[in-house]
Amino acid sequence: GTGTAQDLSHIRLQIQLKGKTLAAAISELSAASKLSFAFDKAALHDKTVAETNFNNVALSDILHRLLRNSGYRYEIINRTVVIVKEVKPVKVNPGKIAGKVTDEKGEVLPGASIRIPELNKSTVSEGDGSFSLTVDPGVYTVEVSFISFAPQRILKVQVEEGRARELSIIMKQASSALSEVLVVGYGTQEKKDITGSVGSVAGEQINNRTVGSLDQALVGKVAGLSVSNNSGAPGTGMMIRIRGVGTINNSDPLYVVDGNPFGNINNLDPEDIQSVEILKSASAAAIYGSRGANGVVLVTTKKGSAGAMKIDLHTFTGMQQVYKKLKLTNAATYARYYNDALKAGGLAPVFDNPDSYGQGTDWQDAIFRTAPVSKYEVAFSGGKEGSVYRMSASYLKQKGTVIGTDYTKTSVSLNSTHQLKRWLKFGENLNYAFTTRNSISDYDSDARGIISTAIQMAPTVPVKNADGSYGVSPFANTYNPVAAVENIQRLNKRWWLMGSFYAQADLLPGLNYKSQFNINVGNGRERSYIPVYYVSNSQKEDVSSLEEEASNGTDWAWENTLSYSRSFGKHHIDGLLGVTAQHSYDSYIRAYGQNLPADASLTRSLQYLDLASSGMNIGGGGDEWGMLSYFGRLNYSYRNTYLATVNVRRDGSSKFGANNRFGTFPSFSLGWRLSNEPFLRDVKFINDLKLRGGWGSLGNESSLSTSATVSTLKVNIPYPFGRGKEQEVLLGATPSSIGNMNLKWESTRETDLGLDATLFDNRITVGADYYHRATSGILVRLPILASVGVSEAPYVNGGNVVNKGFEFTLGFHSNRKKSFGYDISLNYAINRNEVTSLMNDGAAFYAGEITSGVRVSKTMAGHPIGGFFGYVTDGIFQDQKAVDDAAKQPGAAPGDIRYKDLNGDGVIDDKDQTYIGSPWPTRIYGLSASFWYKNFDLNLTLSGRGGNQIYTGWKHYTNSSGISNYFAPDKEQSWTGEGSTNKEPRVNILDPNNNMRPSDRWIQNGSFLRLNSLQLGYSLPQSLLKRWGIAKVRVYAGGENLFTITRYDGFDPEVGMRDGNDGDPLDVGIDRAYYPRPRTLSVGLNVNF
Amino acid sequence: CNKLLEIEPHGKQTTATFFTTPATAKQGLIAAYKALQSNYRTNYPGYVRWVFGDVCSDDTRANGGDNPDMIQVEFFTANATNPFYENAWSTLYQGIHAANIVIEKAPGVKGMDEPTKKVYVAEGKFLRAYYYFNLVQIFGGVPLMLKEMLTDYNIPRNSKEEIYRQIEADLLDAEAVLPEKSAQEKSDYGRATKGAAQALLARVYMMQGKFTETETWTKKIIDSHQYSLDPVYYHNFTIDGEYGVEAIFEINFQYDARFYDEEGSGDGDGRTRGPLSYGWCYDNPTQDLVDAFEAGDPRKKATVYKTGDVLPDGTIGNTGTSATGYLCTKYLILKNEMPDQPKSSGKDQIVFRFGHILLWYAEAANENGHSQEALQALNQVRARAREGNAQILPDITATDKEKLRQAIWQEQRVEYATEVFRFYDLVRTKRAAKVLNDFAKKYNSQKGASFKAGVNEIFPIPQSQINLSQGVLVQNPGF
Repeated sequence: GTGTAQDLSHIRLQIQLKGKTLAAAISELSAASKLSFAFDKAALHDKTVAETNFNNVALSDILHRLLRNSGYRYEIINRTVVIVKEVKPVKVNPGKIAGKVTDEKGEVLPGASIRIPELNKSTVSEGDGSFSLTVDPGVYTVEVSFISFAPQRILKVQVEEGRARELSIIMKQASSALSEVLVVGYGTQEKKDITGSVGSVAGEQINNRTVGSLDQALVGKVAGLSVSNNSGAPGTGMMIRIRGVGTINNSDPLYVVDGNPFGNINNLDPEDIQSVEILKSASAAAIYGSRGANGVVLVTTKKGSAGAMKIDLHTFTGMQQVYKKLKLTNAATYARYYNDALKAGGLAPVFDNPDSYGQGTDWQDAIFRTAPVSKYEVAFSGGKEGSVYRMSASYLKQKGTVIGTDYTKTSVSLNSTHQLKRWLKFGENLNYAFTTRNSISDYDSDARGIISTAIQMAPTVPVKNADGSYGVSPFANTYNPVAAVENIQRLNKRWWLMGSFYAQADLLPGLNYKSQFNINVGNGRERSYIPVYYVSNSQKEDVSSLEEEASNGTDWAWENTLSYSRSFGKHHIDGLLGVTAQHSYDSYIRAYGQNLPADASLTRSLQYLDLASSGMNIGGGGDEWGMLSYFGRLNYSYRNTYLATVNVRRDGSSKFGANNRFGTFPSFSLGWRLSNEPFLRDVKFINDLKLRGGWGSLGNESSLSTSATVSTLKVNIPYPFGRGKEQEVLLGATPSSIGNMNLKWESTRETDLGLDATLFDNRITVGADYYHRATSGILVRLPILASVGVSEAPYVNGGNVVNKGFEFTLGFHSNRKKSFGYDISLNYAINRNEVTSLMNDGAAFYAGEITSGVRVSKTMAGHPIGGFFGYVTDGIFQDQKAVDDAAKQPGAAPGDIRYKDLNGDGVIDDKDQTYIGSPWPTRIYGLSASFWYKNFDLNLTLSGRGGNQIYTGWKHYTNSSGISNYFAPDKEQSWTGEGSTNKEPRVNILDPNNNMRPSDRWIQNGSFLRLNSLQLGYSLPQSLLKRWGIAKVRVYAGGENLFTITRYDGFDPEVGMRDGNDGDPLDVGIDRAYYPRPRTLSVGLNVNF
Repeated sequence: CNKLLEIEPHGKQTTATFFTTPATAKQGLIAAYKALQSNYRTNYPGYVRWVFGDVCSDDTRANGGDNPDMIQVEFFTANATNPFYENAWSTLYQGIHAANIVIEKAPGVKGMDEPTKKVYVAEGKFLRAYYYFNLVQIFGGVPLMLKEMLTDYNIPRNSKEEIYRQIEADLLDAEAVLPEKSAQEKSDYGRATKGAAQALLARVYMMQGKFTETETWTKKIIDSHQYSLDPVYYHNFTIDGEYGVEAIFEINFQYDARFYDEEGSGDGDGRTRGPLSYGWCYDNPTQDLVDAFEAGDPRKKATVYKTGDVLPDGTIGNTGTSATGYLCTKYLILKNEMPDQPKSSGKDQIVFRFGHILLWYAEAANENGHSQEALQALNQVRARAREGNAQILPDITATDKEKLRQAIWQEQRVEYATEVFRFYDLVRTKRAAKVLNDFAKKYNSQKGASFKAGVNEIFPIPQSQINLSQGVLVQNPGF
């Protein structure tokens, strides 16, 4: 035929087919309909037609009737009617694969993904962990995966007709062995394959902690990770250092949150954390190149998993208290010592009857309080296979343990992942946090900080007098701290949005392309309002003022990576190529005005600059930088036994001059899994054993000013010309900095040797590392001769620092199935820090101002960064002869401290100062342990450090013979006559010997061991919860910072950096009576639906 | 990609176009004056000028209960790391650097007329001389930096004489070009004049004991008839009296809210030397100074006050925590001088006034054997001090050189007490050790006890600078 078949029901035919074979009948139909037919003539010859006559019947019906029960049917293919053999399905009863997914403890795991790759069929486990898939009989592979558990693959699952094959699937926690999958830069890797040094903290060790921020939860968790308290004020960050301190500049590590390199970890709710990985060795961090020189902290947040929606609720409420007060003298004792000090200085005593003052005021009680803290969190997660989400929201409300301080944080997170095609996936991570903070000047350097003032204030003075006015110290220039808090209103509001969006495509088998765009937007607002007030002549304001500062910043980073993974027989390679563009911009506007309406102090609605009537003053500025980086990584393994990794990263930064803009930073590392070798394969107790070693180079420019390469002017230098009150202030300008076009990248070279082992049926894990990290060409503002006449020192590549150390980890893991079990991990790290050279040896870096112009930290070659510097004491002069026999010490008399004449020139002068201690611990250790017994669980973290010293700067307030209160234990030991003591000098208001000078007298051992957290939980039995459809209910009670074993007599031996993380990185370990970290006791509740 | 890496620094002006136009040249000139105001400050403007000039002498005490550094300087027990030395050194060199830029770049400014360029250069030289003179008085010989942005800056100290030679040369150049006070616009008061250069030159010669030149240059000022004594002594020390008939050179201060926190914008001295309610009670006049005034001398009340005294503005004095019970009347912020921000004052600091010149002329004339001229100048000052009261301050008549010298020294002490010359006068007349050691004995005080003749006439070079120079800078003997 010649026609074309379209709709056979429109073609009606009258035809007689009696006695014809089916083949002949179809030929006739073809002729009659003028359609082309295709059929197997031979096969259809055997069949005769059943019906014979059709009268104006649609062709489609004719064909149906002819072919009925013939075993054939028709199809229209390419406009041809094709008669095809009908394949009847074989009637078989399908089978089933069913089962239950649980963890090792036997707890059900809802939402686990179960997949049969042969059929491309999958499902997720139900709320009780059960699943069921209907399949035809056959032999299949079953793959089970669940986040944070090691994926499982069950081979050769035979399904028989009509039968259900029951599987009991026990998922192993990924963190229980070397098979753990860790997040590494731009990807994940199984721990057994990692050749660099990576520390890891699983989310469960961070979740449920009653801390406000993530950094506090990391204390004691990872070998070589030092987390120190800068301030216990609510909402302030901690100082984090990885493997010592590599540079004179800020040594903060790089924080990467879900691949976002501008991550702000304090934005995150600890409850949202899936895992934290710390890339310690250069070879591990090398993929982050220039930004990874001080180590990298990779934070992965929790993601949703397919299945019914899960809801997790968590709340806790607790009380915080300062756990230690300084032992200061009471009023009577104070008055007596003060009189004695005056008399010793030849002055008249001022307290007529010291004993009449009694206990007096405890100024610490006046400023410290018991403060509540509570937090509410909710998270929703779920999705279908291929499209999952997680949303969470939290609210933290915390009062500070010092009056006038509080903090709230609201954060909302959202992430989802969508499998658009089998080869294409995209997703996003969003996190928004909003904080408000009322603060006091706890860092203030001029001794006017609230806490330092409180410990100086004379106990003879009442907080308030009977008439309601504030108590004022009659002699001291010391403020009434309570009045200071009550009169100054300082509020900081901030919001910060972190967002990342990514698309991931499997281009070819093994070849994957990922593009991620990260954008972070932050906005801060700080307002200080000072009303008119009068406490005393030295503590007053005659004019009210308001200062507001608004700052905002936007950072973006666009990262594109191409990765390839393939096995060739026993060889396996993983390759990565990438390019990253980063950009950061921030700016601020500051405005100040005076003379606000009188009632503005009572109502915040009047605290606006529009209402200020004089003293207007404004300012503003900004900063911008960009970076472009190319990087590549190649992992190779042979037989899963010999491992090698090579990284190269090339970074370009806008902060450098055109000639030195780019730096190239390579690294390589090797691993050998001995446990795979024949000679160890039969050693039963070794599950895994790996030796690894590497070398890497990293750059750093993070603390370099964006204007370091150009000479800049100081502008708006005011000087008036004219006469009398008509003088006009004119604005001048002069060069103030010398640009250095030749600056190069600061670089860190590190060698790392390590060992990882899993032993005794995965019950014991062992890790050990040795590293040698040399930082050279440190970018630093090297002081230059003042005679050059510029006020700011130029940046130079000015010195070298070496950190070396050992790290050990040891873990004990019991069988999770048993009703009693434990997980214990210990870590211990030793580090030595030494400045090996400074460009100009004379140019030591002084920091750590204690009193005006007196600095106690000196960074010099041969000693640790920020080491303490001062005189060495040599007991007390017991008599005049001892004074006369000693080196000449101006002002010395019996009862004064004898200092060592270190240079032997017979005179005690500034040349007799030396290195007297290091703020850096030489050993840091931690222990995390979890125990469970039936429905009870107990979790604790211990941390400790040793080998560091603390400079007790606060004793310059409490041990001076002058105006302030006294530290009782020291004063009680003061020298009162020959032989009375050889430790504490006499009291003398004039201190003619300058016993207060920086010396080892103020140095104390900073070692401590602390119980950071302890939590006892109870989970309600499943049987009870089942009817409510609740997966889990856990109640707990616990505490943070519960006890500290130390010989240090200040508030807290954990002393970080002055002024927090924006402060001087050389001003470390000097305790100026910072805001003490509180002890928190709390109760909490987890409910999981 | 290049866009990402080629980002100019934000909020910073680079030096590229600096000092090429009249406007930017003016900015550079203003900056060169700035170092006068932040004159070797530590924390606040003008802080240290009087620590070296007065607190180190027998005239005032530091007090400064919470400032042990200042007390150590006062007692000559401070070591070379004391921040007062550091700050004096670095601030003065910053002034020198700014002045060097003016001198070097003014001739090349486009669009500026030649006479203006010459005046700029002359002002630069005046300022440079002033800063070097302060350096040489405090530290002795120092490295002589005469160019901006030296590449080879680690140079040894020049001798005291070389520094003085440069100062004299700069001042002679400046004096020849600078305008007389009468030719100066009122709005330019505060900029260097011919009289200012002559006064500084006279003082420079005097410090070196060159009395012939001192007499010549003080005489030039007298003969210029640009200046006369203000009939009311205290008027000189009020804001109303700024750039009055007697004023030769002042360090200007003006309160301006824009620069409240900026060093030196409007603080003057009220903040530091005032009583507790405005300031911190530093620089307390000694009983020895108070006793130095002759009976009835009105200058005493104009110089010192104690609690309960009626002050020039009619208020009652309160000296707060003063170590001596006295404070300086000359630096008091009067009621009508109080700006919006009561911790600040816009009061200028007097550097040179005609009263100083007459007494320097008197001293030089006496040394040069011209006792009549000396007496005339001396009695002119005493006559004004009398303010019409014939019962007090009789004319001096002694013509004996030594007697007259003593009388002139005494008159200098009381006429310009607390005006930052006393310590240098003691040093230049070689009396420092005796006067200060005697003070210690007389008042049983640590003040003055440690002063060693031949050592403490100058102060130590800052230790940081010696360290940085890696030994190129050598410390003064005795430190």
